[in-house]
Amino acid sequence: MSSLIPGHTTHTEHRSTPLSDRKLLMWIFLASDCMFFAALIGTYLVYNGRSLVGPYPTDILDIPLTTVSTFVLLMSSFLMVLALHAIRMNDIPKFRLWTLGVAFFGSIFLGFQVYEFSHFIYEGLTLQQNLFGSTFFTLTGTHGVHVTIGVLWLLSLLIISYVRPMTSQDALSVEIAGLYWHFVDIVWIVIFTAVYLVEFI
Amino acid sequence: MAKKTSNDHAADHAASSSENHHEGSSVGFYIFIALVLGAITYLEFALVEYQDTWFTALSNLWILVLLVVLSVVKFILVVMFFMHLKGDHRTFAGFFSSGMAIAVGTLFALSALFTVRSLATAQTPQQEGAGVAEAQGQEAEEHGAEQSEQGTETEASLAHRFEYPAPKTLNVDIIDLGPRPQLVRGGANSATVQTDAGNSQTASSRPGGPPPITLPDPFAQGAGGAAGQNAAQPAAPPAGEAQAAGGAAALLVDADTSAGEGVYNGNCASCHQATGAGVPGAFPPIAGHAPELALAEGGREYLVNLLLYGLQGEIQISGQAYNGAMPAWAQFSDDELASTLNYVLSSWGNAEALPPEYAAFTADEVAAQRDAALSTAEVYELRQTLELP
Ligand code: HEC
Repeated sequence: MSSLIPGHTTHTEHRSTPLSDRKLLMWIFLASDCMFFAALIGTYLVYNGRSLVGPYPTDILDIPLTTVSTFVLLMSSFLMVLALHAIRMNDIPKFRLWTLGVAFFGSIFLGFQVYEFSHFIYEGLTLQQNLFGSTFFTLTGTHGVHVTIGVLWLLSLLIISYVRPMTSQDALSVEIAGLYWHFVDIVWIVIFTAVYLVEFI
Repeated sequence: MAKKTSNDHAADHAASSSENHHEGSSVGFYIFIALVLGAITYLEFALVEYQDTWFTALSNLWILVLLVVLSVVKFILVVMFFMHLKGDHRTFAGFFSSGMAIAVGTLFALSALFTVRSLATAQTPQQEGAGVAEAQGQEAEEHGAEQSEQGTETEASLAHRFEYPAPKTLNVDIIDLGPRPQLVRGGANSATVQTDAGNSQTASSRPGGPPPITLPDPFAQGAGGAAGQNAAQPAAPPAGEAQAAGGAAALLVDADTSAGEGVYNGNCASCHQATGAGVPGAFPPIAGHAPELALAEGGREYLVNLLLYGLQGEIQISGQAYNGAMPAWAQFSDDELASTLNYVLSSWGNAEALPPEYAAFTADEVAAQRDAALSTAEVYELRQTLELP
């Protein structure tokens, strides 16, 4: 029993620490992704207020709408911990329910973003229009791609749960997908403040 | 324990998982965290959306600080309790926090890079005024030498670093200028313009070599400021306006324009040129034109609004049409903007076009227009209704 270490790939091999390689890999990836987003957010902030032509941020950013989508993403994170909890308790039906919920909320968030982007483009803000457009779309677009990947990842876990019985290895997979999902959420927490809220003080 | 069902695996995993909450209560705990996160999000929203009704006691700076703190709290809550970094193996925390540290460092480095550079171009403090003028003189000399004997220069290029326009002007080419003007760096006051069409007006193309360079003396205007002039001040209409706003009005001729000179050379000169001559058809001249605006009815306010909110739309200046975008400069302080206007109005012969009793722009005058929050289009409308020259 003691040899059954979470995330351990083989039971024959002994390790001094209960470290899962895959989980470690995920954390290292997240650390590098932090730097990636820092560069994008930094670029946005540095060029903020330096656009020569409109539309300017205060003309088109919509705080109430974005608050709702931020809330949706936060709640998807909450459902994600519930899903992880369920699979750890070996409660597969609940795991499926919550995972579906996460993917659903993630899609709602993406829907908001698609609406926002198309609205902005309609208002004349394109990638090439001004510095605000270039930096804003690059930053939020990259985040949106992260969310999309997360949704696909979770859906694939959901499908696996129908194809074959879930094992402790799968619990680890869910945990790692969850780490990714929460990370996408915390990046948005920062973007929401740095890009949206601060603009309207 | 030799043979396990897959379900046992999962159950074992749960038992040995590093979660430090009892399984029963953890769901309740997650719900609690989620509620806190939701509440913080609403509070953030309210801080911004109801700033003028609920949070009038808080200054903008406090709101900013609160927003940053709240988002950091949310960040930490998610990382600690949803990502279980608290209680998980410390190696994970080590990797993640190093990544975060580098990320935060990147943010600081980026913003420092840009603000320090803008400050270097925008600041010409009084005490260092002489030093800077000296450096500029040196640069001008070096430049002359460089042109005549094509010598190598080190100090001159160093001085140039601080002469480059602030980053704000980097995207100038968004505006369609026809033949694109190229800045040819000369001395402090001799930046000249070449267009692609080839009608070169550079200093070096003149037969006599580089033109004489007159250095702006930040103390020159202050020197003539006799108390008698102040006493004799006959509240002319524009002067009277300023007096009402700023108490004892100072005269333009007495104004200290060193800060404004820094702002101008760092931000405006790339378009309007260090000589205030502008670029025909692209950037209107300020030399000769600014006094016309300053003397027109409503002109003082218009000038303040122009700097605060920018201008976009077709205008006619001395028979030449301009249809470009003048950026807004609200990020500068009231003092700096007032000083910029004073610098502009007392340079390049502009002072001679104004009556000696013309009042200097004051910070209060700028502050008074901040609430207006006009758009560039509204500034344009204002210009049209005032029928400015
Ligand atoms: C990006 C180039 C650019 C920069 C930098 C710039 N301006 Fe302008 N400025 C313009 C253009 C273009 C116009 C003409 C606008 C139009 O056609 O409507 C203009 C117009 C003006 C006018 C005349 C307005 C009028 O109504 O006649 C003044 C005065 C002026 N600018 C002052 C400044 C000052 C002071 C600064 C620095 C704080 C500055 N400008 C920086 C491009 C610039």
